[in-house]
Amino acid sequence: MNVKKIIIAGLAVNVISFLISPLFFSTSLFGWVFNLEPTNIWKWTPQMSLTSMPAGWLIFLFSVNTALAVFIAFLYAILFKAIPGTGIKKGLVFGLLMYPMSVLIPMFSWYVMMNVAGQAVLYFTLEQLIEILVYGAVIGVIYKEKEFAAKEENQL
Amino acid sequence: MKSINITKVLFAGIAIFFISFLVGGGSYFIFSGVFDLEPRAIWKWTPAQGFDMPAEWWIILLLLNIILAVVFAFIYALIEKGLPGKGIRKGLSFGIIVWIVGPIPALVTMYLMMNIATGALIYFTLQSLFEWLIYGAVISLIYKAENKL
Repeated sequence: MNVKKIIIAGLAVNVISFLISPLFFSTSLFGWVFNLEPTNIWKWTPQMSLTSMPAGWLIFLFSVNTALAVFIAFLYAILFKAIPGTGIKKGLVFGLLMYPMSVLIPMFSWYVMMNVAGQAVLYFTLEQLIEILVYGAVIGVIYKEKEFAAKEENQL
Repeated sequence: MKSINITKVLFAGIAIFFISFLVGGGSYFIFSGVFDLEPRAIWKWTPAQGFDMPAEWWIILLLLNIILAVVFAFIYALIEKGLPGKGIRKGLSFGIIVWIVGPIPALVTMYLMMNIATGALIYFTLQSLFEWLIYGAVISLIYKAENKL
């Protein structure tokens, strides 16, 4: 297991998540999702700047996001040999495998248990498919194990 | 690509579908006080409502629950060889992995973005860990690599 590459891949996912999330939540594109009733469930919406939130909230956001991103890269490394495909395809398959675990179950729970607009749940379900495929692809490109990298080169 | 025992995948999926109602549903009734923590407006369903929900809610609940349960058993079968440990430990590893990439990010998002009681989030964090360890253990007991069709 290449620990250095795990950390690099995790940090890359972390940075990319902060770059692409604002696109999905920008007020000009999909910010309207947060205007669907009931709106009183939201503590933070894209209409609010991140700096308007308490320092503890921001520290929690950045630290947990980083830890989870590195864990996902670590998980990819653990499951590396069991995931079908090579390179970016392996990363995309990993993203697809992660999707039911990290998106479908939570969105299902939100829909069944909570007063969140059905359209908002549908939007988050689709938006996160794109996100998780991007993260999988990034990890697939960055994380390679020596013998597999050599095999890939031989195939080219 | 490794061969997958579809019969066992289906059997394991159906098993965790039923267990989810016993363990997940049962724990909501036992710890129903969590749903009384303010703000309560966030809940569509609470244990106080019992089974009094619209038919479409039940259809979605049962249908999606069984589909997801089978999907999870299938994912276990697909990545089984890459999971750490053997036997039931492999299943527990799977449960912990799903817990970290599933409920944890969702609960973190809920804490960051939603008006929800911290006590409720702590409860769901522990309850989901307990649930996923059981699901992982059950799947691993039912699905064993050496018993292929």
